[in-house]
Amino acid sequence: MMLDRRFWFGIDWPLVLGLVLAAGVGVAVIYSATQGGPNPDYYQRQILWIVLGLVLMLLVMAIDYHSLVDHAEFFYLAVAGLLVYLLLFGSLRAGTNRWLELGIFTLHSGELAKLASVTLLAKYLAAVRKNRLGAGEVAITGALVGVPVLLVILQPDLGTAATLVFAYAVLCLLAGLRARLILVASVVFALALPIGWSFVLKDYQKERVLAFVDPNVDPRGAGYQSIQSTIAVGSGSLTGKGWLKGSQSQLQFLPAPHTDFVFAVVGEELGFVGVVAVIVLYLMITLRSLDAARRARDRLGIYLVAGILSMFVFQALYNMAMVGGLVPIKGFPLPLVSYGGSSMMTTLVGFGLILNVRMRRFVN
Amino acid sequence: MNIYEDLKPLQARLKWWRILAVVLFLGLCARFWQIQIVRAPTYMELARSNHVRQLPESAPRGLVLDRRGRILAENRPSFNLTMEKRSWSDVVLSDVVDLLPFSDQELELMKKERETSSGASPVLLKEDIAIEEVALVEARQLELPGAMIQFVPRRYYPFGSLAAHALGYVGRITEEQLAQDRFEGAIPNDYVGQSGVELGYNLQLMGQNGVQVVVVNSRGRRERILEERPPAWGNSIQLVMDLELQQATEEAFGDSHGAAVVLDPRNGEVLALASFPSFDPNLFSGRFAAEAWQAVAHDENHRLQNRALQGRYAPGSVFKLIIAAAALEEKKITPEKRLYCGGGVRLYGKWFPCHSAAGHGLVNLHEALVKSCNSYFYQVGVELQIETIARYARTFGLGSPTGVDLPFEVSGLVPDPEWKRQARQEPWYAGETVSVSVGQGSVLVTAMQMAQIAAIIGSSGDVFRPHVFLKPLPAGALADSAPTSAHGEPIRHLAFQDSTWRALQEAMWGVVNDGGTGWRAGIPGVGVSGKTGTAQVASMQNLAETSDENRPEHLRNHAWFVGYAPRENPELAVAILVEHGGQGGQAAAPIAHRIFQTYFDRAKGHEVDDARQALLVRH
Repeated sequence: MMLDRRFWFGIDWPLVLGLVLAAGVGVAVIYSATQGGPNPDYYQRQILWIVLGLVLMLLVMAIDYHSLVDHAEFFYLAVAGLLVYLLLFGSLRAGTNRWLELGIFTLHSGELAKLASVTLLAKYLAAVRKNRLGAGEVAITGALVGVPVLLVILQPDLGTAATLVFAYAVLCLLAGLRARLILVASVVFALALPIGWSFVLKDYQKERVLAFVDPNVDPRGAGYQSIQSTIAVGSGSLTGKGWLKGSQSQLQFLPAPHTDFVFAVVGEELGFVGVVAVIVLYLMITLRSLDAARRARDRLGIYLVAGILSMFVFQALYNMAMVGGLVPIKGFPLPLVSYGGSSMMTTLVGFGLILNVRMRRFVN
Repeated sequence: MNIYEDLKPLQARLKWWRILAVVLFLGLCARFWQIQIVRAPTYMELARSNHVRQLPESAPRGLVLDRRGRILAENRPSFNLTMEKRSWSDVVLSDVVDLLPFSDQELELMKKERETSSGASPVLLKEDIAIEEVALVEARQLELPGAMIQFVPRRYYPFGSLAAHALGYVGRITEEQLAQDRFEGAIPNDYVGQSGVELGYNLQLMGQNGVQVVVVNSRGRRERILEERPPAWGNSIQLVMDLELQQATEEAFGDSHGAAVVLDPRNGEVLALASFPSFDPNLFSGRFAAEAWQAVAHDENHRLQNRALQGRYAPGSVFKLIIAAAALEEKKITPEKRLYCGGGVRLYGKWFPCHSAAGHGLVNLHEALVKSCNSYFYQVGVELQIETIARYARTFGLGSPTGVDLPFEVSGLVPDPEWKRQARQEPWYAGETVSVSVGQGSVLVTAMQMAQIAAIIGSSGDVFRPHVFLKPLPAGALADSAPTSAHGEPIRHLAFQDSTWRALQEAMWGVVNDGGTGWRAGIPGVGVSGKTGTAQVASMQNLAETSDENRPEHLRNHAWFVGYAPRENPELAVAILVEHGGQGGQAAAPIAHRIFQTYFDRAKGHEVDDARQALLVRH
């Protein structure tokens, strides 16, 4: 541990400020979104998750990321074991068994899987000292990611699986791929789409996709969320209806206003101004993190930052695009803003690693 | 230890990701610009229509009071269970059906309602639910999103079927009615008058619907009221009708079918108006009353028909009063002139029987009316000829509506050769004049017309337009005191000779008080005057073969009693028709007796009791 002056000096405070600001917006919006509902105290719990997350973030930063990554295999196996355990013995919650009951807290296992997989992936790729990946390395890393991806698909949690696949693709591209390999991967992906449609997607998931293509096909069913979300955002106009004053969110027309559709509440109550402010905040966090990757002293640092950041960006972009009616509805939280302890704490731990990499950019 | 790594290629690739991130996040901004700025007006309107509802609030109709201020029609609070069409949920519906009892018919009507509903107003699930059921639904509000309790004032007739035909009933407005003037201002689903006073005075009684603009949540639950215009009561009206006389009339009728009209000959006020069989107008005050409605509307007894205004009957011997007046005025007879009755008379080679087979011998006008001798009037009628008879009949108001302020009054029929040519393309036969002379044949009258004839004779020629309306009252107000019966301004006066009126009035007095056919109507000391009649149902030819009592009931004759009292300056004129009652003296006169009895008992100093009873009735 090195909690001395140098430690505090090494922290990237602008990035921390960005994280805290985003989380603060989240608390305010969650407060507004839950006032009329059965859980008006959720904002207090969210504050608790943020504080716990910041503490965990500090702890993660305190230990050199090289030492942390030394235990990546152990972490990875433990999480894989947990996923298998949940599949076999887990209790169903909201139709899936992705939650680990820990007394008062239920842990979202997919969040752990993402962190564990990306860490191990970064560690493996860092060991490859070539400018381009060969087919063998792609296959091995693919298998590394494939195991948790399959396990979360079985839960079923397509969102986490897609996030992992995205991070994997980003890391491979970053590590360097031959054009031929990219082509082959694209073809495989294109072939996998119809197969996945027929064999992997459940009916409700297909409905969501179809409802996205035309929400008015079934305005009371799968299209409902999409329509109500767009109405909420659109009716917010330039400056919004005001905090606590959104009719769509306060009168429960908006589905899941404190979790998946929290950004729609931002759009309705804070308007385009609020939406742009939050997007810019996310962009700043992203660019600041990319800066950490650029300054990282070794491949491991770059891969670690890129892997964690790609998942964060993917989720944030997808969630906002979903609220904007651009992509089918998928149960993603908006990281840092949506209500939820697992997401908040793993996100902050992830940023702890990014800050860690930046802090140790200077070669000793 | 420090191994140098060549990070340049990685860092170069990172630049591309950096650009990609900026492009994607800014692209997102563009998308939100499109939704929140370009299309904002559309979405603002959609958001508003999502949570803002305009809920109509039905206005209570005005009260209908009798002449002493007793409530004949009012409103009672009722609750309907409804569901918004836009937040319709079959799951909630099945929960509701489990919670409350629903008849198959209610379920079917609900389905129809839902299909035909425009969505502007909520779909009715169950009407007029009990207060316990309201509590049951309210307690489960959270489990039954979309289900709403709607408060609706419902028409209520505290006396049930009493005066049902005069008061009428209300019903949901029809498509055709929406376009009509007398329902101006009504909106779909409103309840409007469908007959009687409710229809005739619909515009006065109808209030102004209110509206409540409310904010609802996604489950259709009302969150708060944005704006409210409360419904305005309709104006009340006070009728000239008299509750006690009406009650007495209906009680006296018992189970018989027929009609009764009680007028004040001094001003044309309709004090009582009854038609039997009757119905309970409370049955029609709801939408789901269809079953009750079907039963009543298609009842073989035609319950809904107001026989007093719509029933067309032969006047029978009552018509002899008109023949007598015509003959006296036209100087065809003098009161003293005697004609022979030998149990009938042979005219145009055909035998026309009198109801007395033995015959009345030589009778003058007075005796002929008192005994209701047919032979006398056959001969007088032939002398007068049909054109003159028709002219006098019309003078007395037959053949056209009296103009009473109630809907659907019919004209009746005064036949003459002109009519027969047009209606049947046949010439007039002389024998028909003989039949018409005793009120049979094609001549048809209503009980209202007959009551008016009694009033005209009783008042020596004053014709008033019969009316039930007394005065309008401000919304919600109760009447102050009983109005006095004043002489009105007649719309017409029949300028006959005094001797003509006297002859008719003395004969009518004789019918009741001097051994005539109407003795059962008499009350000692009151001077009830009247005329009985028997309207033939079977044709003249069959009449001779069987006596009326031996015929099956539906072929039995209709019984009339038409009269007034007291003898001088009459205050009451009545017309009673008992369908298939047989002879007028037996079936109809006792009913008139009961009405006169009630009225004159009260006139003799029971007013104080009345006032007290009026108070009791109101509570």
